[in-house]
Amino acid sequence: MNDRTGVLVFSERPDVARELLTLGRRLADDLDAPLVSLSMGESAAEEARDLLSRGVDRALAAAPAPPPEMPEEEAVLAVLRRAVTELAPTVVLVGATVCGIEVTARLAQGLGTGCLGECLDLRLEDGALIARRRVLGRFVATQRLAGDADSSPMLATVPPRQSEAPPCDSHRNGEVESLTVELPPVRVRRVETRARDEERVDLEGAEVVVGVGRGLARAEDLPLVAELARVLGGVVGATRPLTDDLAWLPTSSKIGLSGRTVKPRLYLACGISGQIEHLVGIREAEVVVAINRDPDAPIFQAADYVLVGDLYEMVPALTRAFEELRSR
Amino acid sequence: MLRCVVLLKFCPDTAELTTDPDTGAPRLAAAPWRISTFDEHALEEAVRLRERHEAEIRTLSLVPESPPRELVLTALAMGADEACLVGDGSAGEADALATARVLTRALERLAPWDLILAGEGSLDQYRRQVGPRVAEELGIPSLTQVTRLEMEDGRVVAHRGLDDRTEVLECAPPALITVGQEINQPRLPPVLQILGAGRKPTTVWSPADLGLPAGTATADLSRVETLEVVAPPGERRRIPIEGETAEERAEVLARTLHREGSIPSR
Repeated sequence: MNDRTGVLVFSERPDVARELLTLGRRLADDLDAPLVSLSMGESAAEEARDLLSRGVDRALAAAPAPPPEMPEEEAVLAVLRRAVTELAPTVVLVGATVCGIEVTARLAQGLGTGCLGECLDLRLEDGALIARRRVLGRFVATQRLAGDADSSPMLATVPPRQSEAPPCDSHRNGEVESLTVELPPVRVRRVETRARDEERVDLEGAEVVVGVGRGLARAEDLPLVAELARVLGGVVGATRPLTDDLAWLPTSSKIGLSGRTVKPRLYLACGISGQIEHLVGIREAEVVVAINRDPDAPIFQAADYVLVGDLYEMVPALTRAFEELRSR
Repeated sequence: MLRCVVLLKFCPDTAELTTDPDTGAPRLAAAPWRISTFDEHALEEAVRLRERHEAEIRTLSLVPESPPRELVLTALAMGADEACLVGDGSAGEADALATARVLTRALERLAPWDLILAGEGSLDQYRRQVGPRVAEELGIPSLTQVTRLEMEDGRVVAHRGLDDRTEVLECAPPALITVGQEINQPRLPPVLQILGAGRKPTTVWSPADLGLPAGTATADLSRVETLEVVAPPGERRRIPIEGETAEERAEVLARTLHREGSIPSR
């Protein structure tokens, strides 16, 4: 193995960073070069040790932790820039969180290079990175980013929850290396931060998701849908109009292009018309059941099972039927 | 005077996009165009700022060909004072790097400005890269996921809504702001207003007008190449669940799902 860093993996979210390791390891092996991780923040050293136990060849912990008035993106960009300069990696994998997407774009522009965004899969071929990503709503594009003669790294972002983290192996150890980063002066000041205390449902990890849309007449009727979810051991999500316009549910419950993506075994769309914004968020559901009064609703094009009917009749009937099934 | 430039993309309406049954490719030539959804919110936000501050609003778009006239007029009718278009046939193939570089050149021609507003991502590509890249190229702050925007004592105050928190950022202008749908409800103008907007100016530039070498296509500046775009296989089954009553249909569905293993055990 040569010494030159093959692959640098990073996410400001430690859980996402761990998920990047499997892909990172495969690419690093293809390059016959080290897999290096980067951690930052108050728990950087601890997270770095965890990543070492999961198989990275080197683990860097950035110091110092940024001051709270520095926006996260600014701090992350400074740290990532420093690491890239220091390590000169061939490939950089960043978790495609909102922060990761923004920071990697800015890093890429500074380096004068491209970034393959939100890759569904990623491979090396003849010194270039090839990846697929979603475009134009339901379509998939295959894209290529060539390696660079002037050795800019190839950048890619990878969405959370696409892979499992490799397991810890306590026999694997190594030294966490400190990376000292000179943070830039604060140009944008974070003057207030408030944690979202609304209950944030685990939509991405749910096996069953019940989605609700504008077919629901009143916020007061939400329990109808919640009950269906409960009987199936699932969670409730909603379309943009219900979260953003009507605010019947928090924005964290929004499933769609500008919201969250679900990949359950079973998705039930209740009173959802099926706009592209929403369909993009449910593409990866294994089975989609759609309930809508309008036989021409676009949702039916994206469904495995079509139930044309009033959700106020069908949802309680389904709840009873699943309850009955469960008790047998 | 608050000088705003709104990055506005005209793109295929993905909701109306059909698939070629033989190749699985999107039928782009047949799709109607629209203003990219999030950019409408960005333009609306500029218009709202003008309700509170003296402001000038220009839109800037990189277009592969002349966009439908009524879309440009719609942008003007929504409240822009001027529409600027950079016309380049290769714009559709341009990656985020190239798009940002060309838009930056145009922005340099439009300087000075205080705020550059954009949607968080385009309806068709949704890369969410171009805004931050433009900010980087211009050397100005990039503030994304903005759900509320104010100018207070000449400073930019941006509320952001993130997954795990909300926060308030502030900085001196100029700054680039990207917005989603939460920030406002765009007021789409009535037809008469759209027609009347024809008297407002539209400026058209070629890449050469912006100082790029003659014959440079925006796409030449790209590093990411798109090899293929197809609809993924495995279209949904679209099986109708029939029955006389809701109860009957519910039972049929429940049994079917159970049999095929689609209901995870608790």
